[in-house]
Amino acid sequence: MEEKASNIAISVKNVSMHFNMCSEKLNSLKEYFIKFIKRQLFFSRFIALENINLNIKKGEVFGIVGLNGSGKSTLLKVICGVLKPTIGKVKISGRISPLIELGAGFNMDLTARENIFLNGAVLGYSKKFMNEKFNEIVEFSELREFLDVPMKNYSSGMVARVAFAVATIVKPDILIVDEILSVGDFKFQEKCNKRIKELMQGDTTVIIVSHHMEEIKKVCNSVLWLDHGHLKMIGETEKVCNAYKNFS
Amino acid sequence: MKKYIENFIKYFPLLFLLTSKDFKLKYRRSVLGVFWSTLNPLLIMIVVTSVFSVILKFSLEKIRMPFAVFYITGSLIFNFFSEASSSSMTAITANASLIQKVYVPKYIFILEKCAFSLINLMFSTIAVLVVVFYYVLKGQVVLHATIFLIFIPIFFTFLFSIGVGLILSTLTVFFRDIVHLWGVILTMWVYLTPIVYPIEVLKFSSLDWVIKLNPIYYFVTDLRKVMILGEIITLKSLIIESFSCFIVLILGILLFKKAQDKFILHI
Ligand SMILES: Nc1ncnc2c1ncn2[C@@H]1O[C@H](COP(=O)(O)OP(=O)(O)OP(=O)(O)O)[C@@H](O)[C@H]1O
Ligand SMILES: [Mg+2]
Repeated sequence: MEEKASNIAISVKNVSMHFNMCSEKLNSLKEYFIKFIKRQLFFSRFIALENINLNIKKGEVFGIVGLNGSGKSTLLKVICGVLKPTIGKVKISGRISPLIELGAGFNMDLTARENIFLNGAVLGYSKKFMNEKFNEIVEFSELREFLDVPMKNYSSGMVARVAFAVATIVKPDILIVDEILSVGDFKFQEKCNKRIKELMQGDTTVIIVSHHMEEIKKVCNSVLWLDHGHLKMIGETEKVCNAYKNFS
Repeated sequence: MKKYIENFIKYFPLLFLLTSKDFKLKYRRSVLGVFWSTLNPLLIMIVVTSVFSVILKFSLEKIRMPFAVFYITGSLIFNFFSEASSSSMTAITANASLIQKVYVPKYIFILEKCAFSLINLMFSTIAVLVVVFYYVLKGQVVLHATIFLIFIPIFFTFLFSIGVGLILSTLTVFFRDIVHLWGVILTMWVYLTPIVYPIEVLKFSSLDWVIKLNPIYYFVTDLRKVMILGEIITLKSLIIESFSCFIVLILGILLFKKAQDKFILHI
C-alpha cells in the first residue's frame, strides 16, 4: 500500500550495509603489497543490514529494538547520513538532529565555551544563531562556573550535559536518540527526558533505540525489531515488544 | 552544483571555527608564539645564508638579489606547501571520531588545514618583509609596486596544496605508512626546487628539465620576481601554474569524492 509521500519523514528503501572485514587490520602500503604479491588478500564480507525497508511517518515516535550487534546503531547512522548504504536509498525530509553519541566533535583541549560554538558549527548552525542560543545552552547544562575550563578537566557526565544541551537547542524535524541517557546523574536524566518529551509533543519525528523495554512501551507508536541485520518484525509497539521479549 | 555551494555555506562557520581552534591551540600557551613563528625562519635563514653563500660564491650574481632574500622567499613558499600537505594528509584520520558520528562534509578538514597553514604563512611573511626592508635600507634591494602581486603565486601554491592534500588524505586513510613516505618525498622535493641554489647552476645538467616539471619552481620564481625584482609574471608561467593547479585539484577532487564514503570503514 502506497502512503502519501508528504506524510513520510524517513523512507528507507532496500537498504543493505556490508562491511569489509579483514582478518587483520590491513592499513599499510607495505603489508598490502606483500599480501598482494603472496595472494593473501582475503576480505570477508560482513552483512550488518540486509534489505531493510521502512517508512516512518511525520510526528511518529519510532522505536528500534534488538540484541547487541544486531545493527541498530548502524541503521541510525545510515539514516542520518554518516554511513552511506552499500545498496539502497534513504530519503529524509527535514532537519535531523542526531543524538547518537554525545560530545562527538568536542576537543578536550578547548574550553566549554569554545566547544559549544564548535559543536554548533559541526551541526551546521550559524554563528549568529549560536550567539543567540548560548545562554540557553549554558542554563540548561548548569555549568556556568566551568565555562572557561578546558573540557579535559570535566567529568564524563559534565561533558554529556553540555553535549545534550547543544544537540537539543533547536526543535529538529527528526530527532534520533541512541541510548545516550545512561550518563549523567538522575536529576539530569530527568531533565533530558523532559526535554525529549517536549520535542516529541510537536510534530517532530523521533527514533529511539533502547534496551529498556518499559521506556519503549511508554513512548513509541510503533517498533522495529532487528535481528542480525534482518528486519524481523515491525508494527504495533505492544505486539513487537512482546514477541521480542518472548524470543530473547 | 547549487547543492554543493549551499552545503559549503552552511558549513563555513565550521571551517572558520576549526581554523581558529588550531590557531588557539598552537598559540595559547605562549604569548610569544606568534613571535617565534616569525623568528624561526629568520634564524634558519642566517645559518643557511652563511653556509650557502660561501658554497655558491660564483653563481651568486645570477640570482640578482642578496642570498638571504633569495633563500627566505623560496622557503616561504616551500614551507607553506610542506606544512599544508603534511597536515592535510592526516586531517581525515585525526578527525575520525567526529566523522564516525556526525555528518560533516569531509573536505572541510583538508580546507581547514590549508587555511591554517595560510595563516602561518602570513606570519612568516612578516619575517620575509623584515629581511627585505633590511636590504632596502642597505641599498641592495629596490622596492617595486609589483610587491602587491605576491598574492598570485601564494594563491597558486594554496590551490596546489589543497589538491595534493585531498590526494594524500585519501591515500592515508587506506595506507597509513604513506605518512612516512611523504616525509621522504618532501625532502627530495625540496632539493629539486631552487630554494638554496639558483636554477642557472644546473644549466647544462639533465636535472634542469626535471626542475622545470616541478610546479613549485614556478611559484617560487614568480614570488621572487614580483616581490624583489619588480618584474611581472609572464603569460607562459601563468598558464603553466593554472594548468598544474587545475590538474592536481581535479585529480584530488575526483579521488576524494570517489573514496569519501568508504573513509568511515577504514578509520
Ligand atoms: N565500521 C565497521 N566495520 C566493521 N563492522 C562494523 C562497523 N560498524 C559496525 N560493525 C558491525 O555491525 C554490527 C552491528 O553493529 P551496531 O553497532 O549497529 O549494533 P547495535 O545493534 O547498535 O548493538 P548495541 O545494542 O550493542 O548498540 C556489529 O556486528 C558490528 O561489529
Ligand atoms: Mg548501538
